[in-house]
Formats: sequence, structure tokens, C-alpha cells
Amino acid sequence: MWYRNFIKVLLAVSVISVCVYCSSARGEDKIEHQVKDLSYGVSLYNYFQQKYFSAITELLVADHYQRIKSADNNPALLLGGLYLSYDLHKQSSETFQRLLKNEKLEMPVAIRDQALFLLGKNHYQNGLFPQAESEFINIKDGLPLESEEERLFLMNAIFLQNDDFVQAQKTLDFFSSESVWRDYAKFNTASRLIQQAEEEKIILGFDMLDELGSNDSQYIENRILKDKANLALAYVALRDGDSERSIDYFNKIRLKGIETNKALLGVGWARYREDEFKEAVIPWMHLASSQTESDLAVQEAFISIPYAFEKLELKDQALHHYGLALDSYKFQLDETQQLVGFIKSPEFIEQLNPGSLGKEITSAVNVIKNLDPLLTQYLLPFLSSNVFQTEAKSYLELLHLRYMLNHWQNNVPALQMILREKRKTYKNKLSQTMGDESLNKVEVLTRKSRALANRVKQIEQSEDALKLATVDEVKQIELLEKSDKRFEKLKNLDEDISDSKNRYRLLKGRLIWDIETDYPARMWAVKRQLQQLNAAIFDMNKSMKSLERAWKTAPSDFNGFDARIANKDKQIKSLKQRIDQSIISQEKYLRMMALEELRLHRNQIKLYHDRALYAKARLYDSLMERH
Amino acid sequence: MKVFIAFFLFYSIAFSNIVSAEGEKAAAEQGVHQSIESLKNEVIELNRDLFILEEDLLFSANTQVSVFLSLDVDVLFKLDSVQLKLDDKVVSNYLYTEREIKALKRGGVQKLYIGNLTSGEHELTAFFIGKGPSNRDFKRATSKTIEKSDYAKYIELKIVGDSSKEQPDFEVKVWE
Repeated sequence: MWYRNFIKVLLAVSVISVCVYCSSARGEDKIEHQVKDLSYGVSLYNYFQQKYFSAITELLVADHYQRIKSADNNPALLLGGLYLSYDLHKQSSETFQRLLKNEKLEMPVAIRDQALFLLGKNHYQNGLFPQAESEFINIKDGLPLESEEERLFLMNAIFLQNDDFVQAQKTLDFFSSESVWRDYAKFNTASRLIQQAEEEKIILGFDMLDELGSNDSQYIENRILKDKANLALAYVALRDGDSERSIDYFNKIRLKGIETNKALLGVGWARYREDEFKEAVIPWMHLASSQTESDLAVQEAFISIPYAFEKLELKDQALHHYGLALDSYKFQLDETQQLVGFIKSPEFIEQLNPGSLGKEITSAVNVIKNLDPLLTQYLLPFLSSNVFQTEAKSYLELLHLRYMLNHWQNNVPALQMILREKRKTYKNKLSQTMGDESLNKVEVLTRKSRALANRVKQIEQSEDALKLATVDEVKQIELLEKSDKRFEKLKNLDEDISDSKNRYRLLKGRLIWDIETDYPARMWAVKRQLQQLNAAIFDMNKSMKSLERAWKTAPSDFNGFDARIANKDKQIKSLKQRIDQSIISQEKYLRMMALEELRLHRNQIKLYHDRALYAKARLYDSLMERH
Repeated sequence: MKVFIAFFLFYSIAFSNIVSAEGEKAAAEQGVHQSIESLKNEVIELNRDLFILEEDLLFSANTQVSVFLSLDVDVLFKLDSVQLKLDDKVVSNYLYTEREIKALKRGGVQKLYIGNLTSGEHELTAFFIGKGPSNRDFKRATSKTIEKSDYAKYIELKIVGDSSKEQPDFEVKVWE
């Protein structure tokens, strides 16, 4: 089970590696981010902070508005990975399958392989091992190293599920030399092999554990595995009666590690086996004086010390240590009884709640920090276990969902108010606009434009160029006409006006000639101006119609919002009810799990207590007989 | 003692058994988990719908303006906060956490502001406050006149490193 958490951590790494790799241009010394899509970038921003809920929402909203324009498939890959990280396996699987089945897309091998890998992992987490194997086999060579090693690890686990030890062993050859994944896979393979009936397999399993137990890697995870392998080998040697060999293995275990207490206990038993009771007491005394009394290995040491003293015929000391053991067990039984009360109280649930409202939770690791120190002292292995962590995480996720729904529920009246205000403002503005007198000018202008067009048409038909004369030309014509009338009046006089008349005739002829020869150009210019005027009036009419349309459709648009808000409000209320019920169920379940774990722990202490009590009574009897 | 040794032996080596035992337990708990999974998905969908509803209602496309912020990974600047002004009016003040800066450096983009603007010219000014080269207090501003049309406007504030000047550079990119 330990590897499931490991998978989750590496899932993040694997998805990031693809996303960042594809969205960045790699230089020799630096990486420059090239933002291809803002919404995709925003989703990544949330993803990098492990805010999966926000990251998924951002991508879905961007998809609705068709904001993601880049042609590659990173957004779909990211969405599938996000669903998987948020434990939405069905949605994740559907997203990857859709991506892989889309034959229209020309998918790069790296993206295709990553999609297959994540889909396979999804199947694996759902226990669909044949489907997972099939996806993993289809992967070519486009996976980054970290994902490839994880793929090999999962393949190894699937082969072990099928008892296919040959294939499981073969996968071990493909890991890189320093890979921690290989050590995990090897440990799993060895653990399964030594449980088989065939001697050949058992020997092979021990050989593998031996290799792991001799690993000199400095990496913490390799060292933990080394300790685990040596512990397993030591207890097997102890079971087989080879105490010296078991001590050799115990000695390889670090003095400050998670297996230290078990190793110290084992060393004591190995010495005890060899009748070296004095030497056996030393590691047990060390354990008994440690600050980890609630550890089962320490409790076992408490009762083992007087056993050894009895063997050394130091009965008084044995009696004293039985007394100490009994005191310790009684004390622990009292403390654990208090814990039962604490777990049943509302305080336990309050401590599970981080108190930071609205914070998206991706891990329940920090829950341990908030819990009562006494509880963590007794139940630390359980509280750190994947079973509890998964359930606590689900609980925290439910709290976040409730927070989100509360947030929206509080916002619904605000949305309704904004809608009301918008509707009111819109109506006021539109009625003001529609009532504007300047809008009536549109009608007048249209009429004028039509009259003008008719006039131009008549001029064109009559070819009366003088009607296209400019204002100055019209004045000049009028002046000439006045001159003509004066000539009429002057014709009875004796004065010679022939020179002036001649000049008048020339001027009139020149003016009319200019106007008539310029007629085609003037007609073209007039028609062009008329067209521009018509276009302007057309635009004006269009705007007016748009305004009218908006006026007519706005109420129905607002009604659409009314319906949408009402519908969402209903959904919020219904979901909130279901989430509240789920939160109560989850609280009960967490409480039940903790109580069950504590019950088992208390039973173990009671067992030691009864054994110590019996041994003490027996020792008293023998001392009484002696006296 | 034999019981104890057997207990630890089992504990130490039976990892593979745990795999199958977990499988059975997982099947028993699947109903609860499926119900939580279904709730999570329903809330995500509702959250998406509500975001869309909110955006449709409050920030219609013809007035919407959104400002984003991105950060170059090796920029010679440690960002503490950003102040954003539109037409000389402060519209956003944001203080960054270590986690957010890391997310920006890895290629994430922050949505800094979403609001409404009328059509026409507007002035956007962003003040970047933090620590510059040699860990000195650093405050710089960048400004740009933007033309708001009838379509939504997306503006990216980019903090990039200029290795030649050994100074951070602040750019404004308007997305079409």
C-alpha cells in the first residue's frame, strides 16, 4: 500500500513533466516559458499549487468559451491528469480514451504515450489490471525516464498479481541502475517469491532481499528498503534457528530508522535463543527506556526483560521489572481509555478540520499536526497509513466542496440583485435613448435623401447641366441675366454698347460651356456623394434596428438569467444536503476506524498486561515456596 | 516468542499480501468512494456552470477586460506584490506567496483581474514590487494604452529577465 502514495506523488511529476516540457522552449542555460493559451496557463498555475478543483474548473470554463486555441493536445492531457489527481477516475479515463480515439488528431508520440500511461495507471488504481497492462504495452518510447520507470514498476506489480514471476523478474532488468522504483519492485517480487512453495523461488526471493539488504545507496528511500529487507531476512533466520546470522542482519539496520525498535527487539530474542540472557536484556532495556512506550516492540520489551532476569535466576529483579511492566501497561490502558472518550467527542472532528476555510486540500498529512499529541503517540502508524490518509483526505475534500457551495449560495442573492439592477438600468437607458429627439432625424434624413435622389435622376434624364452649377456659378448666371435685362433697357439709347454686349456674350458662353463640359464629372461626384449619404443613412438605420431589437430581446435575455440562477440555486441546495450527509457519514467512519485501531492496540496491551500479571503471580508463588 | 516472531515476519515480508487484501477492502469501500467521487464531479460541473453564469452576467464579452501575469523562470527579480491601475484607478493589489511564485516560475499564468471597460482608449499601469538584483528593494512600473473594442480584451503582464542588462524587464502583451 505504501507505493500508492508514492504513485500519487509521482503522478504529479509525470504530468508536469509533459505539460511543462511541451509548453516551454528549452534553452541551454535557461527555460523560457512561452504562454500559448492564457486559460491553459491559469489552469497550470492552479495545478502547480495542487489546486486540482480550481484547475479543472478553469479548463472546463475555457473549453466552454473556446478560449484554448493551440492545436496540440496538452489541455486534454492536462485535464485527464487533473481528474486522476483529484480521484475522478471515470472522468479521467473518459478524457484519455476520447483523446486516444480521436483519429483526426495527429498526436505526437510523447503525448500519445503519456495519455496511454495515465490511462493505464487509472485502470491500475481501479483494479482493472488486464486493461492497465494492455495500455502499458501499447506505449512506445515517448515517456520521460521517471514515467517509464513507474510504468515498469506497475507492470511488475501486475505480473506479480498474475503470479507470473518470470515476467515480473524480467521487468527488473529494464530499470536504470540508481532507480528507487527498481528497489521497490525488487522488494515486492522478493516478498512474493519467499511465500511460494517451490524452494527454487524461495531461494531466489532471499537472494533478492540479500541484494537489497546490501545496497549502499545514500537515498533515504533505498535505505528504508534496505532496513526492511534486512529485518525480513533477520526474522527468517531467527525463525530457522540461525541466531548469529539473524544478528548480522539486525546489525545492518540503522539505529535511527523506522525499523530500529523491531531490530532491537529481534537482537534481544536472538541472544535469548543463544542463552545469552544478559546480552538479551541490553537492547530490551534500551527499548524500555526509550520515549516510545506506545510502540508494540517496546511493550514486548517490557515483558521480555523480566523473562530474561528469571532465566538469570535474578528473581527479585524479575519481580521488580514485572511490576514496572504492569505499571506501564496500566498507565497506557488508562491513557488509551481517555483517548476512546476523546475520539467519541466533537473535539476529535474539530481537530481533523484544518480551519483554513476555502483551502483546497490535496493531502491529509497536515491533519496529524493538528491532532492531540496523545492520539498521535498511540496511533501514529495508523494515522500515517494510506487507509486513514485517504479517508481523511476525502473528508477534507467534502469540507472544501461544502465551502464552495456555501460561497455560491451566499452569492446567489447578489447575482439576483445585479440582474435586477442591470434590468432596471437597461430599461432606463434604452427608454432614454429611444426617446431621444435626434432619433427622429433619421426619418427626416431618409426622406431628404430620397428627394435628392429623385432630383438627380431628373437632372440626368433632362441632361440639364446648369442644374449642377455651383453656388458661385448660379450667382454668376444671375448677374449675367441682370446684365442682359440692362442691355434691353439700354438698346433705345444712342450709346454704343456693342463692345459690352460682346463681352457679356463671351462671358455667358464661357460659363455655360464650362458647366456643360464639366457635366459628366459633376454628375459622377453628385452620385458618389449620394451613395455615401445612403450608406450613412443605412448604417444609422441598422443601429436603430439593433437598438430596437435589443429593446425587444433584452427582457427575454434577462429571463434566461432568471431561469439559470433559479436552476443553479436549486442544484446548490440539493447538493449541499447530500454533502452534509456525506460529511456526517465520513466523520462517523473516521471515528469508527480510529476506535477500532485503538481497540486492537488496547487488546494487545491487555494481553501483555495479563501475561505480566500471570508471570508475576507465578514468580510470587515460586518465591513463597522457596521461603 | 514464536508468535511474536511470526507476527513480525509476516509484517516484514507480506507486502504482496497487502496488495490483494487492499483490493478486497477497496471493493467494500468502493460504494462510499463512488458516492464521494460522484459528488465531487457534480460540484465541479456546478462550479463551472456558476462561473460561466457569473461571467455572462457580470462581464459580457463587449465590455470584458482580463489581465494576466506570467513570470520568466530565471528572472532577476523576486516578486512580492503587484498593483494594477486602469485609467489611474487602482483595480487590483496582489501579494504573492512562495507557493504562487513557484507556480508562476514553472509556467503557470495568474488571472490577476477581470472587469469591465467601455469601448475606446484606456490606460493600464502595473507596479511591480519586490527584490531586484543583489536583493535590493525594487519597484518598477509599466504602462500601456489599450484600445477596447466590442470584443473581450486579454492582457498579459510579462516579467522577463534581461541578462544583458542584468535587470528584469516588464512587458505588456495584448492578446487578440
